[in-house]
Amino acid sequence: MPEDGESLQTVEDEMLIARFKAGEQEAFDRLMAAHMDQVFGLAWSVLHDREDALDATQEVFIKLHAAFPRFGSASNLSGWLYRVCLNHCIDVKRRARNAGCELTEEEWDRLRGSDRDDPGWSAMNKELRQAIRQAVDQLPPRQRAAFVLRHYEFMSLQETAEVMGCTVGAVKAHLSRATAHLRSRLAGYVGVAVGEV
Amino acid sequence: MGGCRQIAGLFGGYIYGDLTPDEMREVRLHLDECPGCRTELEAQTRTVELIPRDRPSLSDEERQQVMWTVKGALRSLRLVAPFRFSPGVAQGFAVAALLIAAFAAGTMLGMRGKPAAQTVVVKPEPVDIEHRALPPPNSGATTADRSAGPAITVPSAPRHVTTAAGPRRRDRIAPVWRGHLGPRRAPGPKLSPAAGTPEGTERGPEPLKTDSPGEALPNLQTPAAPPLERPSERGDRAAPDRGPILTPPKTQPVKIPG
Repeated sequence: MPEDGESLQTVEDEMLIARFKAGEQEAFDRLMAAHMDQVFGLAWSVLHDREDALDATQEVFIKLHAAFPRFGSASNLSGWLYRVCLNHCIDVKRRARNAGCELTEEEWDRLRGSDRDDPGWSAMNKELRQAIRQAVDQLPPRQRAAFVLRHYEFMSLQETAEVMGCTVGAVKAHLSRATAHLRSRLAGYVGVAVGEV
Repeated sequence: MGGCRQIAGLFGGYIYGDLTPDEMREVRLHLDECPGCRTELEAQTRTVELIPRDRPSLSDEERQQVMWTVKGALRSLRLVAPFRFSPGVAQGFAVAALLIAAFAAGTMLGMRGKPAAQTVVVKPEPVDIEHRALPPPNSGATTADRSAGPAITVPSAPRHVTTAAGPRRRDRIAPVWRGHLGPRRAPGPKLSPAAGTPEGTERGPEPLKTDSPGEALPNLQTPAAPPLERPSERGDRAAPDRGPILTPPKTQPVKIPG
């Protein structure tokens, strides 16, 4: 996101937060509309499921509404949303893994229709798509967070470090380990898929 | 120049272009000399490029769905919020519940002790007074007087027995009229006329003092008490003042309906 866009978004966020604290409920609707794509995209990047990502988006905005009375400035609103969304999605993945009732890719496709996903993902081989999702899901939480924020959200190392609450050097280490893990898990697809893609 | 392990820790930043110029130069120098790290970096780069970076976007319908769901959840939370108990209100409710419980328990205990039907009034029977004894000689009452009315003749006071020593010695004389109580009392100590102290007691009554030192003490021997008689042996002879014998009233059994 360009620097000017960030500053404009921050100014608008500050104005909307002030109006909401003054009792104007519509300000919260506008905040939701402004950050909904960002939160949904991050949730989908972690969960790789459209319905789960929608649920996570709703949960994050409900938490944001509850946290507004003790919310300071709007400068860290995006970071707060990323952090809360990331933690929530990791919890969702952990609960789903403990429950052990995940549906197969074919069952999900029958339920929701794969044409609703992004065309880039829909055009991929189903087996490769499932392999990528499983490889990302099997990453340790810190490595997955670093990879998702950098790969899908295009965040810089500094922004990723702020969201994760660690140093830039730690983010570099997590990101390098994540790419190494993905490389080892997707080794069988790299030579074939690279040529196709 | 760092080792392979140290350089591998920078591969992630190298792929995404996040390394500082010094770090980029260090990695490139190592890759020129290390074909293994070069192969590994190429494989990681292909892997990252394999994963699409574009994400699905929300449709307008999904946007509306998220907005309305969040609004509904917040509205329900606002409705529930005013009914949250503060500590003071919760304590008040607890005290009120205790009072209600205590009142209910007391009401139930009271109903258990009393019959639920009407109250039964039990009239006591009149006291049956049986006069078995004749009035004492000095009471002045006659048998005809006693049978005339319900008045109960109270036994008269113990009669004083006049001894030779005068009325001051009357407390040491066994009252004659108590003769019928003899079996219920433990036998008293025997009086020793000579010593004036009952046998078997450590400290007897104080000796009598006379006005004049040389005056001889009077004879303390009491007149012979009338022999004790059993009621069957008494016949018509009257035991001096035996009071009326009160028969306890007979109570009627209470019939509880149901």
